[in-house]
Amino acid sequence: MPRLNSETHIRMEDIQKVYPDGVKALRGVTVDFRRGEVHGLLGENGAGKSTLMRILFGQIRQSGGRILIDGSQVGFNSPKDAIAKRIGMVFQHFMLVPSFTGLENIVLGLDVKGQSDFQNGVRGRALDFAERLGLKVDLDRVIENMPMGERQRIEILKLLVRNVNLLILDEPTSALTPFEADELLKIMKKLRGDGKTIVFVTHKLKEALSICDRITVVRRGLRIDTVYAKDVDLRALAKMMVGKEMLPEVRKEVTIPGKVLLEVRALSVRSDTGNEAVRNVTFEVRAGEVFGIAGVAGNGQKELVEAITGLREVEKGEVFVNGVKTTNRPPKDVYDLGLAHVAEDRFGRAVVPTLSVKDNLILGLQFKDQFSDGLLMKPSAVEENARTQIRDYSIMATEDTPVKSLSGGNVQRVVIAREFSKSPLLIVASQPTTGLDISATEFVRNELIKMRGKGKAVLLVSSELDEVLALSDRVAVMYEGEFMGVSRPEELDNEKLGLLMGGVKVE
Amino acid sequence: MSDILRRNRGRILRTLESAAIIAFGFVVSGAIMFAVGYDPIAAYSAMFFGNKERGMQGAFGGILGISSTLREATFIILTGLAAQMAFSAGVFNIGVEGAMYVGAFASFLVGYLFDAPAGSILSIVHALVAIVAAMIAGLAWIYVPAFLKIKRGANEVVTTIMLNYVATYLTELLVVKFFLPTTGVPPGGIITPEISPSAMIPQLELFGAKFNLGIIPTAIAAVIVFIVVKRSVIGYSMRAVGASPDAAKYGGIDVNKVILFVMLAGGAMGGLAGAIDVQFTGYRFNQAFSPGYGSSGIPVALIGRLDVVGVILAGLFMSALHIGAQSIQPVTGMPREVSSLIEGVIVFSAALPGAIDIIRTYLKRRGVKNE
Amino acid sequence: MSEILVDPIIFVSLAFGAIRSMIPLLLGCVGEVTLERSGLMNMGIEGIMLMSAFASAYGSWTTGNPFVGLVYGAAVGAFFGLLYGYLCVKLRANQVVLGLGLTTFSLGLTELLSVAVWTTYGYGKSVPRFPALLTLTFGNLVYEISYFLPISIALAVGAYHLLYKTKYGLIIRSCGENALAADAAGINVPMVRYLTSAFSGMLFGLAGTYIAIDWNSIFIRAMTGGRGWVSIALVIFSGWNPLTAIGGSLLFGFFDTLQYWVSASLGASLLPAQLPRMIPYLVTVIALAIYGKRVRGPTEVGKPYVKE
Repeated sequence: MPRLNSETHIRMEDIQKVYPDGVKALRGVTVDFRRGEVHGLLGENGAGKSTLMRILFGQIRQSGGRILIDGSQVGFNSPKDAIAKRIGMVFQHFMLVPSFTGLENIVLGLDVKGQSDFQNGVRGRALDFAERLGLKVDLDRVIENMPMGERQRIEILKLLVRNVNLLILDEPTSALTPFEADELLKIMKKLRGDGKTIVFVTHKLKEALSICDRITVVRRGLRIDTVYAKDVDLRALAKMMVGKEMLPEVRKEVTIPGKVLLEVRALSVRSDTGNEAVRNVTFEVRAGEVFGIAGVAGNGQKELVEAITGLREVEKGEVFVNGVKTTNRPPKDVYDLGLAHVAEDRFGRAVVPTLSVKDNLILGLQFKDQFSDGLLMKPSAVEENARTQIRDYSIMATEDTPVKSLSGGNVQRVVIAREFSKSPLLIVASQPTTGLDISATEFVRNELIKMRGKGKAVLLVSSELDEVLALSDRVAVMYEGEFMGVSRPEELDNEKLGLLMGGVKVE
Repeated sequence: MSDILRRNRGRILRTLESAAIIAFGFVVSGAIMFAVGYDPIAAYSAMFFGNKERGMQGAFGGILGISSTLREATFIILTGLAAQMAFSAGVFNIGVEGAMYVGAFASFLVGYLFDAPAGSILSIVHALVAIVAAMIAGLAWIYVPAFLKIKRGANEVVTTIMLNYVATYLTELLVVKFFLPTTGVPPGGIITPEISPSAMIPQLELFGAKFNLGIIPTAIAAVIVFIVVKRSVIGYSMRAVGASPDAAKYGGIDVNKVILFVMLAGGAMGGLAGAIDVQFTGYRFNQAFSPGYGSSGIPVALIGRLDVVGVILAGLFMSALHIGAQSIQPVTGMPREVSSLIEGVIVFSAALPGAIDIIRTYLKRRGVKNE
Repeated sequence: MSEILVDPIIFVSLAFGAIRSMIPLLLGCVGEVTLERSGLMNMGIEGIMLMSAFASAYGSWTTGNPFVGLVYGAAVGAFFGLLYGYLCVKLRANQVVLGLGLTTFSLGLTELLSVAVWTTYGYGKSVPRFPALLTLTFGNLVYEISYFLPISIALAVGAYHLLYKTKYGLIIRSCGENALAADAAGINVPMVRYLTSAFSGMLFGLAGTYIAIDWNSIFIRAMTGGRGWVSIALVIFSGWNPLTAIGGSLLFGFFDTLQYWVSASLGASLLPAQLPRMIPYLVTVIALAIYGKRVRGPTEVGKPYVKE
């Protein structure tokens, strides 16, 4: 059985990707993929690894650089072209038609002969592959009724039936149970044995080490290094993945944490796909402290925040805000108890883009005596409030400007102005500085510290490690729905953090 | 001056957009008329100003025309307001027609079955109760599709249209069964006897034409809608829901309640329109009273946008279009259905966001607004 | 009531009437099912049927040949169906408003053209019709079955086979169920939708042609009489299944014909005329109440993704 052979199958040379709004997702990455290897692509969220692979799959076009297959240059206009060149990708969020059966999904778009029995030819081949690789599938079951692991196997069969030679797996274990993940790794080993090339995109260190032959670490759009798995250990990888970063000094005064304002007990929450996104999480946040939740996005943070803020159903466990049970109560109730939510999805949730600044500044507050008398709004009060907020929070807009024409930084100022001026007891801030420039980022961070100084409890969720470390009094790393331990930032160095974020419990 | 322009820029742009689709409607329809061999200019002038030789008044060419235009406008402004309320919350309420029929019948029932001595307080009460009954009936009728949308996710466009048909047949059935002689339909059509005088609201006679007082409840409704949409807490919620249901939910708004509210309000307005026909002009329930007033509400709301004044103007315009179209036949030979032609093109163009955006960027570039 | 079904004349009348009424409903339904399966929803069926009715009547009248009318009707239907699909896919038009506008427009256009051609208001002149497939005579009562009956049933069966038994059907349905997945599988979603738009439009055109030429052999103002909406109702009622639609359209056709029979005062004493008219609509509402949440994909997904 052919094993590692040093012949380069596919080479991505000096790939750059700049988006229309100026964001540089890839800044010149060069990577070689060899036949018969499992090549890990390791990095944090936003590092650029998914972008790189989507370029290889023809979904995105690169701004610079070229792709070579067996030495000759190729260009892709669509996934169809990539598939024609025997490159396939299994996405993190499966691209399957939920109401079709497994076989129907495999057959979809395939050039098959015959009309009424067109499926059977493919069925035979699919079953062959399944048997050889030990894939347990029921081809006639409808996708909706399949567990995640089986759906993924259908995705893989889709590619195999199309004679794909290079398989890209994008965060393949993110939707799987640990058992299913083990099964997947076994399958990948078998595929490698068949001479297929596999690119394994992940942020999970242990998996990368256990299955990959070589690992390329990507950070902030650049390739840091490509190493043989046998030459490195978890710590070395962690260091490469996380790196050092200078952050403008945030001065934090000493505070004495007071009463418990948020208590989360044995919380379990399901994601949209039905998996357990949050598993048995327990923690508390006190007045005058910042409790940070670090971790790569997609490990349950979103669902945790939504459960606390009343936007998602809680399956098990309880949430208490200021001592009052708020489990499964609607947002309005939680707000009344003193919770402020700086939402992750700025334009989609935290504001109504078509409404004006002044209208957005009272979103969630429109029932309050200050702004309405129960039936009618008080327009002058709304205007007055808007003018004050604009001044106090330096929002670059007039009160009548529609929010959709504001920059990201200004929108966040609006959100913070609104949420913080509610005189909240507890602030939940989720990914508050994503997409913001330096000054806006500084502004947000300073405001959070200010609130802490005023004795508020702050729950900060962020995948920006430096941010979490600099601002928090205590930090928990979230991985696959669980807390990997709560510590003080001083106790954690980048290496330890990388390990925790990669799923390794550290003493 | 430029400050006023800037503050109202949204409104001005929207008005220009509406004017553009209307103009587009006339131009395209005119081209079609011309291609078929008719004279569009003669048609349009007859439509709006009448034609003395043929004795037609058009929409504005004489007192009869004006009174007819105002009469119809009363109805379609109401139904337009109903549709507009639904639009602002992101919902389609096409069921106003059905609510109108049910409301009209309810108004008739209360007007017919009871009687009060003329000129007494009781007669005022009688009239008011009949009006209120109509509104409640309209509201109740809309409750079914609204409920189905919220609880079962049933498409409200189809359910409301279906129920419109049911409403017309149901009321027809009731009239035929209980209020018509068994020998069949009399020459006057499927109509009921008159309601009691105490429920009637008199009309005004001016210069030889009749003007009904339906304009008063319509105006009141317009004012209420304006206050609700622009100034009330629920109006705020409506606008949030219409723009971004996710953000509305985040903002503590109960999206389902808002949807229910706008649909029911639309139903009540439809019922009111029905009452206007029965108590303010026809004084009986006439099966054929609505040449599609309810459905006309949609184009009125589309042209008038999310602006009460816009709806009023659009209502007057559409009414002029319909009434004026009756003058077209004697003058040019074209059937009066050409109003549907024009209306159709207008609604059609209103459906194209791409077109509206094209117009918008074109106007911006032309420097209509001073940056 | 049982007397009706036992009395042979009335039974035969109703049966033939039902068959006659079911044809446009079946055609409209099959067309719309195909379209909805690809992810679009045509709210202007009524309008397209009406325009095709006029076009076919005109074609038959000017040339004296009903087959020319058939071609005109089908072509007009396909054209407007494609136009609708194009506007929805390319320009992201609001499907509901577009459909309503189309319906209103068609009323105006057909009446204008009708007056221009036949100079009478509200109706046109008699047009040549197709030969009948089958003619049955009972005494002095003559009943005919049109060729359109086997044609529409064949189309229904064919559509069922296409959608649920072939790979093309798989492709079409994937566009309606999850356009993103279809796109990732390399399918050209817009093209699929254009094709189903044209095809469904052609079927609506056939329905209109039948109503004008075969059923009435004359063009009458607004002669489609709400059948476009009933077709949509039938789509839901039949569960997006063209085979069940055959039976469903027969049932709806029965109620449709019942109203004519009743208002011809043959049965006025037994049944108020309005009752059978109401039933298709009530049934739709009930069907929606039960099946309301079913995934249809009418809200246009938009272009699955913009090329980055």
